Amino acid sequence: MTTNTSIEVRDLKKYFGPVKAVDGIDFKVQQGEIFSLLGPNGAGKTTTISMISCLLQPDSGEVLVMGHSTRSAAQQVKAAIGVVPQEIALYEDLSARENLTFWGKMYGMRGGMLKQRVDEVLELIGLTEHAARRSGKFSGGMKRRLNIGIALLHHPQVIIMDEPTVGIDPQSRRSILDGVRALNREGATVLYTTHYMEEAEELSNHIAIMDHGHLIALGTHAELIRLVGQQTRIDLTLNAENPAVLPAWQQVDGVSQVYAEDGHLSVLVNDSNAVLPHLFEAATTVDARITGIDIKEPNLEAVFLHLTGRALRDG
Amino acid sequence: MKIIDLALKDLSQILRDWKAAVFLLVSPIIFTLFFGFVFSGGGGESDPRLPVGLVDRDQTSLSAALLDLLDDSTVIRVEAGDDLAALERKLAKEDLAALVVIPAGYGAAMQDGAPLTLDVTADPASNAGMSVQNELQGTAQRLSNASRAAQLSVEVLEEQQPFASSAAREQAFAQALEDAIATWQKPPVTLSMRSSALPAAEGEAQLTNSYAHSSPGMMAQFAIAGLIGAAEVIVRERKTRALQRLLTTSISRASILAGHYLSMFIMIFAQFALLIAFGQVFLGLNYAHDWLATLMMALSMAAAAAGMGLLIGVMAKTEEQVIMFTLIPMFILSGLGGAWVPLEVMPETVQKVAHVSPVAWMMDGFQNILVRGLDWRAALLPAGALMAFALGFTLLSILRFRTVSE
Amino acid sequence: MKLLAITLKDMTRSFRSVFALAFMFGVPLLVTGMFYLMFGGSVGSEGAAFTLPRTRVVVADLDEGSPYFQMDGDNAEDLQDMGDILTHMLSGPQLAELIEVTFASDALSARAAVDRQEAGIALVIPANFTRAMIEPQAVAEVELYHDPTLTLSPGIVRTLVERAIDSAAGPKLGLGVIVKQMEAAGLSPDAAQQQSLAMRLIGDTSGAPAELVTLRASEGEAPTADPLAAMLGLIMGGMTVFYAFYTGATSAQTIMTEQEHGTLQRLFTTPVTIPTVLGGKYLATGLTVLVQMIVLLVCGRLIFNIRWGALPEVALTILGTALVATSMGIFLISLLKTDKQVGMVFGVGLTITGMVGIFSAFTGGAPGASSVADRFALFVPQGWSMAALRAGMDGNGLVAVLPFFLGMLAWSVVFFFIGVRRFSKRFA
Repeated sequence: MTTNTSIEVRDLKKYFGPVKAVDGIDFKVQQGEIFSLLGPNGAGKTTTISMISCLLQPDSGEVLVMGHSTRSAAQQVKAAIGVVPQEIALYEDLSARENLTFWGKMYGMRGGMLKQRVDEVLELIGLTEHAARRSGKFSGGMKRRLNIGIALLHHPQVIIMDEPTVGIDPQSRRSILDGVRALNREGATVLYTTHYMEEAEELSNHIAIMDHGHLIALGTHAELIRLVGQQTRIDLTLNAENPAVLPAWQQVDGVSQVYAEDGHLSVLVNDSNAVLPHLFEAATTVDARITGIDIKEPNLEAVFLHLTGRALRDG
Repeated sequence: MKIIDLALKDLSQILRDWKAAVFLLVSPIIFTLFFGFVFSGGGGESDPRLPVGLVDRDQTSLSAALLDLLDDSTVIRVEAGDDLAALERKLAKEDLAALVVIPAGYGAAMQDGAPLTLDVTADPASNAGMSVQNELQGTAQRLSNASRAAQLSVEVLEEQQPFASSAAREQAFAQALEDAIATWQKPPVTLSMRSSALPAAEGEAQLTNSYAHSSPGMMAQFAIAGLIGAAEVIVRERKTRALQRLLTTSISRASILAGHYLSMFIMIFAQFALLIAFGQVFLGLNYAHDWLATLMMALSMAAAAAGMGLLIGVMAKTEEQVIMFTLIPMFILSGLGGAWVPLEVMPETVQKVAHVSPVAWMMDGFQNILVRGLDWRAALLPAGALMAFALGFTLLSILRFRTVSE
Repeated sequence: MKLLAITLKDMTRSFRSVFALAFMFGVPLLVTGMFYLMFGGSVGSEGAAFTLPRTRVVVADLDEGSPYFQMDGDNAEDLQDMGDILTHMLSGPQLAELIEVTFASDALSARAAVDRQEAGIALVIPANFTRAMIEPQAVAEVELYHDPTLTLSPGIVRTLVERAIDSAAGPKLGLGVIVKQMEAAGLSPDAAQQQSLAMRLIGDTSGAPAELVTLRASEGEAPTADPLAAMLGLIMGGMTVFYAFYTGATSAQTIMTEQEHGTLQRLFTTPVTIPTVLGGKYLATGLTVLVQMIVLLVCGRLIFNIRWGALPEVALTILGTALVATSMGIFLISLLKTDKQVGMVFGVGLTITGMVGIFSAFTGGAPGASSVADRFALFVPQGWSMAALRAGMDGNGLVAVLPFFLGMLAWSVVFFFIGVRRFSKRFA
């Protein structure tokens, strides 16, 4: 392990009965980067995170965090990380300040140092004015922010965030993403799981794509895009179902791949401007009428589609 | 139909936890047996009389006569002994209800017409202590009267013709005393006790069947306890927003309430049916002598309890509140309604207030059936009162439910 | 230190919960208050013995008197015969607290009043009542017809009537004995002689019967004990024990709710060990029970004037109860797999064992019941706690409380180890 690696995962496996939740994955997270685990629901992201944060023992393989093994040095690992769980986990009958103070103590903080840090975190998550209110009375967004704040108290070297933006309004989501970047700028390594590819694209230095317990792709955003070639995806909608249209488009010059999913037809092309007129022509030959077009420049969605034949959202 | 569908859904949710269902049947049975057993003074001893230790420091014919009289007591059972310390230990362990010492000189003093008092050690606050005291007072009074008569007869004989010796005088006194005691055992006026119970209730010695009180009492208490599960279903429906979803369908608010009510009613009635059957078959209680009366009581109490459950369900916001809103009224209504201790032993004011509790009405009705042996007409008033409770609870629930939107 | 932080957090939370507070303090005080009203409403100013319930007695006095019977004195006009004397006694001021007498014209209507539940007892005094009392061969039967649901009052009225009959018939019986002795000695007393003997006997037995029994309190029981306070002490003690165990389980239940809310998992992502978490919970639960018991016992002393006994005994009982209630809570909760089963724990695990354990509180006065209840009670930990409390209340000293304390300690150890083992396994 090189000195600037924060997390190293080696051949990690976790089975629940017949379900291979995590089936032999490897990756490294470098110090100071934002690393995203991207994948649909049920891909094994949370299981992986749980093993990294010492909540689950791996069946085999190894996890090193800041050089400490989760098996043999769980306490050192826990001291080094701050975990933001997917579900909001705080004491609703305690105030924001009481929650932060309690969790700070759990990380071994005491006295004036703790008090000062609680104030800083309250400021950071924008809850200073609401510090004395019981958190049960907070709005969903405020609870999310407090949920994150708890993980930041002890200046962890690694912050692990498990889908922190699930089910919240766009505004809170924006502020969380900005917050993550700010933390990263201050030097924290962030391991971030999401099934929103936009978040992964926007935040990450490296992205690992998981599906069915496997790591199916890993790299920087640019590296991953390159997997699908610089291809553009065109989503087309027809007025009526027409099975003949797919073979017809396949014949068009410049089309590299054609998919049909949930009534949506997708075509991967190198140059959309050149190919588009020909798609209309081909449709006409089989009596199909195109009623909608959506042109998508290459993104992670396309990468996932390319690798699994399924759209990311559909899981 | 939707109401029934909803009720069936509720029932399957409530009874999914089969252990809870068993609890609702087993615990009232356990407590019926336990209360009945304890209040019947059980414990495997065939003699229900209070055990009383006795030390005779007098050892005269009069103290012996006192022992003879006490042997016939229906209240106490004498355990005579010489070792005071040993008896005191038994008293301390509560193996004895009281300890009596006949003081030395007791007989002589009684003959002189100035009887000494018996020395009784007992818990003055307990019923047992008071019972023992009363019984001893009565018995000593008899002995004193008999002794007085014997003394007088000896004096009269002496006036006619002096005794040859003091031994002869003693002999005459003993003879007179024996006669007197025998005479006092057969007073010219006797007292006959008769209960007003009709023959229907008397068949299986209902008078001494202490389950006749505990069986309906525990039935009532655990009908209320069972509301926890049923009311939780309503609260959970609201919390999980299933209620809102239900309201988007064509079912009306009234039907939703009616469905919940029906499920609770069925559940409680089934609970009653099984418990009544148990009482009839295993406890020797004669619920069956007038099925109509028993049915009226079971139906009306089930209706009242279901109304209460509905109210709890619409009032409570969380499962914790359900437990609180159920268990606290359960304790108050059962205790006040005479489910634990018969209303008979409570002061008059409480007896009057007691009937604000539906449990008191249920107890009334079942006492009429089980103990007094009356027929369905005696169930009319209590059943009517319970139906009024049912109506009241349901109306309150409807009022409350109209404003519940989430 | 982390352990204490968990303890502090848990205690803060439980004392903030209205639900927890209601069960910790509200219900026990409420139930005791209810019993206070039930039994204590009629306690006199001196706090004397709590009164027995008042029974309605309807009397049909059919006594026709006897030509041989004549009353003299102030009441002669009102009291024509023995039946009058009996009813006069029953409706007198001394018994007013106990019975309320009404009159019926005949036996049938008296019985009907009982059948209609307007009265609890009908007393039918027969026509030859007086004659039976004084004429040599006459016998009579007094009928006591009562509602079968009444358990105590028929016995009380029976005792009263029997005593009255005993003393009223005394002269006749005495005379019979004397005459028999004289005849045996070959003497036959004439009417005048018999009359004078009868007068001597009446002179002896008239007036209030002397107290022939002195009652003293059993060893150790405070002679000045207020019986109502003593009874309430049992009830309140029972409630305190019952709800101490409730608190033990509810506090331990926070392990389940924290798991449900995800805070437990989150705790395990911090550098805290499982024993620390469980230890913190244990301490919080124990301290909560401790606070609860102290508050309740102090309230009992202040509100209901209950004497709990000497401080060391009470302290030992509180300590033991806090230990065993907490351990039992941990143990019970460790048996649960889901939050849904909580009802079972509270229903079976606590309500049933609790009621068995504190049953003696309710049967304290029932003849023959207490020893049975006591034996049953020791099958559950609540019974040991109750026994310790009662030993302290009886003033039997530290030595009497100690065995129960040790018993509680033993229960605690067993529960604690099973509970902690199960939890450690679950979270490891």
